[in-house]
Amino acid sequence: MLLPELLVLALSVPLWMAWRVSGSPVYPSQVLAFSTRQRLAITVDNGNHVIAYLATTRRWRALGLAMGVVASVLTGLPAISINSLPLLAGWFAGALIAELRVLPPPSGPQRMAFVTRRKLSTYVSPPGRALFRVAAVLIVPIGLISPMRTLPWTVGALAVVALVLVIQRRVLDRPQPAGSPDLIAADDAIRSRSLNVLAGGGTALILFLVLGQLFKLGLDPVLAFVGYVLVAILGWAVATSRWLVLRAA
Amino acid sequence: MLLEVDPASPVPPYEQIRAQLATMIITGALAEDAQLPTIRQLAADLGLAANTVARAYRELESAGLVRSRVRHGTTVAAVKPLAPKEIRQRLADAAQAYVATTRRLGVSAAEARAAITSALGE
Repeated sequence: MLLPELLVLALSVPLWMAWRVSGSPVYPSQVLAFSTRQRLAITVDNGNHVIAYLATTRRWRALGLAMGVVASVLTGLPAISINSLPLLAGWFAGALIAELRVLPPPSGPQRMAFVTRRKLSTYVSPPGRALFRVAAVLIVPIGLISPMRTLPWTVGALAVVALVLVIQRRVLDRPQPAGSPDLIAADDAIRSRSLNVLAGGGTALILFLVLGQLFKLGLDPVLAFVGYVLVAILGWAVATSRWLVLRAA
Repeated sequence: MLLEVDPASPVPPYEQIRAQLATMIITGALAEDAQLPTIRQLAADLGLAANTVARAYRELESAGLVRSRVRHGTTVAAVKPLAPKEIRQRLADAAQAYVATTRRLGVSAAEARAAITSALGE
């Protein structure tokens, strides 16, 4: 196959797959997986809210991943190659946009609010929070010892930290429905899932950028590869961790 | 603990928030140092403008019921126990308000006393 044909294939397949994913319904198995992970009972009161959340996040994350594949292919030209950093960055950009697009369930005529501050510690597991902090702190010393030519990596990592903090605040401030306990439990579960994904994905992306910077500074390729794999596993573990939100009475 | 705002009430929303939070603090339902929701969070949950909630918080702060600190947000301040004289005064005010309500409703004194006894669980 010629390069232009390969290129068209490499660019069109991810976009076609993203379009397919975004148009397909949310399957019961996906709702069940969410329910199991968040220890949430799906009921008539919260089912639609959970499905709408899953549809929105899946659509934007898939689109982000597809754009990441496209970016990866385009940056690797003239060879057809896939680089993991644009893939992760694309997926994460999609995850961030998804959080801005998630809508709260329609509120009724009642205007009620809990007199409890929503904190990150309520929704994200302690390891998830700690790893994100460690990753954010790592940027500074590595940036300081690095030459100017690797400055974009440091700036990129700091930008990820800032974006995660801003979107986390947005997720915490998202209106909470005043409805049945099932709906409130689903809202807590959704908030927790969103914040864990932001923590896990953000940690992974920051560490990918740090490793990329170290690689540019002469880090052994095998060590760098092992690092990338470990970081990907770590990010995945945080993003998909089971975390039960305990609500104070 | 829930806070409720009635948009149809003639009482402005900021006053509804202030009054409910003040009651929670004075009665001890909200303990000292308890963190209140951020202005943005409460405004979003209640579907109000942030300025409305900010005004309620400002009034609570000037009444000495809450304090705002950088990095801590708004927390419940230590509420001084009322002096016996002040307790008597507040009780008398509350009784006057109750009597005014019963007169407006056209309720007899006996019925009003019975309602109080029932509310006290006696």
